[in-house]
Amino acid sequence: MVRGIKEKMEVEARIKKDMEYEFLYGDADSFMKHFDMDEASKFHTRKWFEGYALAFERPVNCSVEVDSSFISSNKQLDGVIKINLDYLKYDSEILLLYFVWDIRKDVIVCSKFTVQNTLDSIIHSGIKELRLSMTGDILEKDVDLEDLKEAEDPLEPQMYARILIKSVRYRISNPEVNSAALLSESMCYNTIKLSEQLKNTDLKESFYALNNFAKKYLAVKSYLDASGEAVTSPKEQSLVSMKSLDDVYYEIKKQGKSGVNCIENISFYLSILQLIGIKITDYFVVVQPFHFMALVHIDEDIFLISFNDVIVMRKTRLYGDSSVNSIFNPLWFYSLDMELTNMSHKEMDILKTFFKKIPVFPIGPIPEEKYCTEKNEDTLPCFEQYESVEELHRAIRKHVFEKSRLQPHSVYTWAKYAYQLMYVKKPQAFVISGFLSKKIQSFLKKIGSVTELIQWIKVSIDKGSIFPEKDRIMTAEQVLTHRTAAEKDLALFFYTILAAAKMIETGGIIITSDTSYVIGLADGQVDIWNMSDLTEDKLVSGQVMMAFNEKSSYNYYFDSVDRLKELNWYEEINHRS
Amino acid sequence: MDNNEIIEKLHKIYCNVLGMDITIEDFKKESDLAQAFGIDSLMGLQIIVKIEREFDAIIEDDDMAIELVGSLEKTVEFIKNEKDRKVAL
Repeated sequence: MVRGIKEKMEVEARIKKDMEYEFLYGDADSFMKHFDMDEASKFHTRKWFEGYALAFERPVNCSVEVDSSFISSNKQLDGVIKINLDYLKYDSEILLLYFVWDIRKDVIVCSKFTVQNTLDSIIHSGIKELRLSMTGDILEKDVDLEDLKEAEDPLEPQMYARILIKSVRYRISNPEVNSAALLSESMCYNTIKLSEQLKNTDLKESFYALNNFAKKYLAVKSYLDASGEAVTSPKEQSLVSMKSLDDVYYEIKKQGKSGVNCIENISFYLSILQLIGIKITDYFVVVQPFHFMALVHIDEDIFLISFNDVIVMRKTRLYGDSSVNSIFNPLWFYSLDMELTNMSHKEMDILKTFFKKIPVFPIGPIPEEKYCTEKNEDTLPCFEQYESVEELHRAIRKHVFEKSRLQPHSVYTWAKYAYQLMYVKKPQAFVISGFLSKKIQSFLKKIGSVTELIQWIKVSIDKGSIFPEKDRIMTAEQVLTHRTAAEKDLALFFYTILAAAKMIETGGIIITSDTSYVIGLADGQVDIWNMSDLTEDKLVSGQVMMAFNEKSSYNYYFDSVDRLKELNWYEEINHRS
Repeated sequence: MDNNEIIEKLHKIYCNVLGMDITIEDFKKESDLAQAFGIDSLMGLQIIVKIEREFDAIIEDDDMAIELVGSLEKTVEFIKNEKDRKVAL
């Protein structure tokens, strides 16, 4: 034991000396020699060090305190390194590096870093407690179809499928995905219902209440692949699907907590703040290499939200990673990576004014010709204009659908797909997203036949959608993740598996006024599976409202009946009858 | 758009992403661009998304994306096939 304590003290002394040296004199390569972690962790740790030691100014003073204890195996130490940094031009900062030190390898094998002065240290009392009360089905109501009927949805369905996956890869290649995904979260009934609890209170107090709620219910998690294993390379991270807030709420309902990554975490904060009245000009998401964080201007403060850590930013305050790949909010995006924007010069001036308050985040230029010349300025409906949840829900949906019709290439059109509205012009996107899902691809290996699939569904899938809105459809991946589905969701899941596993040659999904069906054609045979009880039927019953697969679609509200006859796989049912 | 035009646009993309001044002759002659110019996964992703935007293409399969980033010949063929597919639509 005495030897153990002596060893611990020696390691702590060495860590202290090394860290002080590195922050005062070292470079990124020498700093990283103290770490042996996976590729993704090393990437972020390096960025963090550069931000506080190299990017803007070297500290003029650095003092380190180490506090650790042996892990039970006695071959590791875990603890916290407190790094006190003083600068000439910037505010002093106290960094906290939580670590696990491998004694045999003599390196840090696991770490998490933060700063000491987060929102936790601001003492406030009387913060309103938020309650997450999930509602049941929203009564069927008339969907305002005119805007949806006249909409164009001009892109190929493969493009709209990307917003259903919302991976980092697609967020980089299509910056519209970032904005539209965030916009769609404010359209969700459950988000609006949660926001209602915060309306009519002080905006800053609302923000504190949100932070409390997030800390209680949203657990920060690393990226996981389809099998639940942690993904450890930036490439793998770029492909992982992201959740929507309805996924998060459902998990909280079932498990008491939801594991979220950085994007999912800030989507929660920003969608609710938007609904209670924060202006479009007062918040932005900063996209960094494999990290998203948000900046929110409330009263005289600018808050930086990174996971559930909130710090008050100032002109002279440094931040660990000050790189900016792109910036967005629900309506605007500005991508330096891709040199793309939907902003006009006027909106760019608003953005620049905002970021002048926090110059550690530099906004690089993009070529002049990339700027949008049309006037994009807009506001979004919120509780400042509407009294009830139902009124605001109706208003924000109407707003998005109308804007999509008027501006078909805008983020509003993408938002309809992110919202997973059934009544879109290219529902093929819902099927394609299932083909792209890594989780679905992994599941395919477990199912060898239609019979096995049906048996698995009967045992594993509950009835009911995660959405209170009846005109939204769950993706195949969501059905697999949450193990619940309404009949139309089940049809999408069932067909996706059959088609992806090549158990059928072609076929599709039919949603009627009675129930939902999956049609499969193979070896000259037509099968019709009824999703209400997973039995085979001879015909479909009820009025056909929608029919689609990955290549084509029909919608009762949008298309003439001739369109239905053009679907070869559907016509096979009629030939059979 | 003929092959030369496609290659010129691709050359511009690679130089822009890699931050290098590669001659078009060197660009054309390399059989494995990823190895020749040290293209890592992040750079590869940027190249792929710029190809998508420039040529209005959709590259979904990640294995295919890796092949395309490395091979000029395959990329040119892919782009031409994408154009034909869109015309057929």
